[in-house]
Amino acid sequence: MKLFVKIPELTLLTLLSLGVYLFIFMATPMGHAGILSSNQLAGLMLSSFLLSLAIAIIAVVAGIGGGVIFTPLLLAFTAIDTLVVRATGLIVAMFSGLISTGPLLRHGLADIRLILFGAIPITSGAVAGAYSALALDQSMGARSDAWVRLMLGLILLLVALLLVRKGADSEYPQPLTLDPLSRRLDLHGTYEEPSLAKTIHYRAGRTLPGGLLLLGVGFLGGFFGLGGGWAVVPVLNLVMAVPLKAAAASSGALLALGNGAAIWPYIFYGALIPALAAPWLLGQVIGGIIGAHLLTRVKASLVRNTLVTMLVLTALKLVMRGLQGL
Amino acid sequence: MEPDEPTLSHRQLAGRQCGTMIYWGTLAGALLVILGSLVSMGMGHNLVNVEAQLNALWQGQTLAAIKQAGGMDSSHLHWYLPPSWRGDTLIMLGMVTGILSTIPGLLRASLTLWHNHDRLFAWSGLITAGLIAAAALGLLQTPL
Repeated sequence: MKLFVKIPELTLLTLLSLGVYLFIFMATPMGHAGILSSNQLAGLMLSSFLLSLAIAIIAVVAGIGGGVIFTPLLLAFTAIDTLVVRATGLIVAMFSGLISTGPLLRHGLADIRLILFGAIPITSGAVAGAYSALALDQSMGARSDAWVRLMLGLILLLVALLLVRKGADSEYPQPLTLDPLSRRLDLHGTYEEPSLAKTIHYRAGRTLPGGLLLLGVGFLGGFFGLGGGWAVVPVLNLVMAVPLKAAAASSGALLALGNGAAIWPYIFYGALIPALAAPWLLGQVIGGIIGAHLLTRVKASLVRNTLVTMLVLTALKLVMRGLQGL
Repeated sequence: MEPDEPTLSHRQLAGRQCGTMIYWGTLAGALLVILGSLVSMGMGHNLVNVEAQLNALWQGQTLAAIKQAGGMDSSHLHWYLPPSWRGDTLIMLGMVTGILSTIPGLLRASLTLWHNHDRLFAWSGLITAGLIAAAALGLLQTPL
């Protein structure tokens, strides 16, 4: 509650959003154009908004972007066209990242040079992924989606396993011996860790493999509409030795940049439906502000446990859907 | 007498500038989305038939059928920029405002980094802003 007093724009957005959706629910003038009544459609919008808010808080704390929860959720529990789900998933992933970028850069938890290092590969990869998704949908349809969904689920399980095995080492990785490129780029950072009451210093290494992996992550994120945070955090943390909270913080901004380029093919194709995306977007913005302030205060172990839980749940769902589609 | 504020490094300053622009741009976009939602779903003033579109969507129809149900013409790239603003196009405008807030943020950060001789990362910011702008203008399209 103190957050709502401290951040007046958060209060304004929350009140306006709730007000508008309650108004729509109670007073919509639309008729009955299909199997869902206008009241039911309004109810779906209000539910989407509230669910999105909860997802955003969890997603920002874990650094994964809401898309990795949203996209499998809708693919699993609704019959909505997969392109529409993926386009909306990119919006969901992007807006929690966009709104959390400001507070996290201000607090120093996210580092601008680390973000700018990853921005080009992730943005390029994401655009290629988005166009590939549209091309594949046109040429091969649902069967190819099933195979890729299955493979993605297995990759997520592998990443979750790596995070579990690395355990607490991943929260504050041991400094690496820097290669020449890493020394040249000098990706070092500093942030205050309230849970330990000390200042954390770090230096990112393995920048070439990290950059190449971010290119691949961008591609997968743009292709699946998942955003990519679920993979960006492990790349920054496990490969480049960035502390977990700093990785989660920088991941949000990287998602925003990559998805900010990847969304356009979907917009041009007409796959982004405004009425569906709007409540999800608003929930992400409000939840993203809350999540960003929480991330600066929570323990790194909570971030890791949340991330692992989300990865495993998402992976299992993806594997099930993949097998069903074959 | 005010206590001295800690001096920011150029990196921290660039980060703050970038983050601040993106933050307020996203908030502005969110406000437009709220306004668009009110006009679209609250008043039923839309470019396409939103209720028919949502029904087709939740029934699991294909994207082509959803677009047809709503009467959506996506033959031109920025289909949501009509001569007059409606609720659904205001929602799109809000989304686009948030999405494109990264460009001025990146440019501002790049300027600060450039002035502090951090040229490599300044270029990265400029290139990334360029990629996003190129994607938004449809310059990165492939034939489908």
